[in-house]
Amino acid sequence: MRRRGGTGLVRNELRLLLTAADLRIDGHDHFHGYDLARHLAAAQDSKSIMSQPTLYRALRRLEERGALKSEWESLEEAAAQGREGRPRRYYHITNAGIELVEAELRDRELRWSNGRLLPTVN
Amino acid sequence: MPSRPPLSVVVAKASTRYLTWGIPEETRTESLLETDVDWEIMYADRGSTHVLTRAIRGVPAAVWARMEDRERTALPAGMVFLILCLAGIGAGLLERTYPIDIRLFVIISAIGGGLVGLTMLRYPRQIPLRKTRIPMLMLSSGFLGAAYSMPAETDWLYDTPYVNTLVGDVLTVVGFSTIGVGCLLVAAASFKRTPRQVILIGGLGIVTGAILFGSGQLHWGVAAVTIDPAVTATSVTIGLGAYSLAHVTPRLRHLVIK
Repeated sequence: MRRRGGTGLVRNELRLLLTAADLRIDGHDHFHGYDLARHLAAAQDSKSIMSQPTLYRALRRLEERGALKSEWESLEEAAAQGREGRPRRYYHITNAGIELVEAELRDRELRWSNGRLLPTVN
Repeated sequence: MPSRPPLSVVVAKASTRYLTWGIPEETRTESLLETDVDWEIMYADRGSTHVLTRAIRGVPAAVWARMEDRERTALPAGMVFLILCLAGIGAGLLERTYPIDIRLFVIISAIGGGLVGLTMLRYPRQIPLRKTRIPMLMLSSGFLGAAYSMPAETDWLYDTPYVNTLVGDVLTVVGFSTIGVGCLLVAAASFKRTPRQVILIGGLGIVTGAILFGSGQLHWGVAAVTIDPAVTATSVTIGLGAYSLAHVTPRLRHLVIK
């Protein structure tokens, strides 16, 4: 998907960031990539989870922009959950990410409703 | 997750490995660690069918991502330079209808182009300006020398009622000159304290010259088609190669200059 003007977020990135913001409001500060995609699919009432290349590429770009931050769980934490040697990477939305998403919605005159980006109603 | 992973997860993980083959090792290792866990979580959440469906759906996106990443290397440009090198050496050796001095200049520029191509393949993620200084100067001198040596009036061997080879020759001379100047600017940009705009203008010269030169060669190829198929084949190959060079050169602007 081509990036708009080189500065804005593409729609998938915006959707993921909005979902991350929703999770933060619901008290889930940290989430892994699949979790985020699953919540987005649930919000859209869809059975289809975002494909891995699309999802993780978008997460990388959001992290590069400072909208998300990630950290790996420790090997001990992974082992405690039965995943020896296979730690998970957890993400959380940053304050810059919250500001970015608000600015994007405002600039593009969109609103977020049930997992969908819709034009604002004037 | 059971000690023996289900087939769907094995297939999904294998597809991810295949689609990430060739990307830098550190990035790939982290990426695979994350995506492997993703597949395991998804299997536990949704089962095998969804895992396989999502793996298949991800193939076009993965291929597109790799193609986007490929734009950021010098590999395509390096391959084009090498192919043009071979074609130029072939043309210089085989095109006996042309004066010897033009052929020598073509061979000099072809060798320079080949060295540029090899350097790009060796260092695909940067523009190795300093390492290609001498080859760029060879390219420049070869192209400018060939442009200067083109005879003002030639016995038009391939004039036909419907193709005037003067057009091909003018395009070739102007293209040679523009590429020559462009390569000279790029070579000059390899010295410290040269403004970055110099390399951009040099690149623009190479692209413009390649389009003109390629058009001239295709024109020649069409003119010779009923007279000498070998000339047509060579000219068309070089012409398409020049167009390819014009296509891949602008993509180098994403790379780090060293």
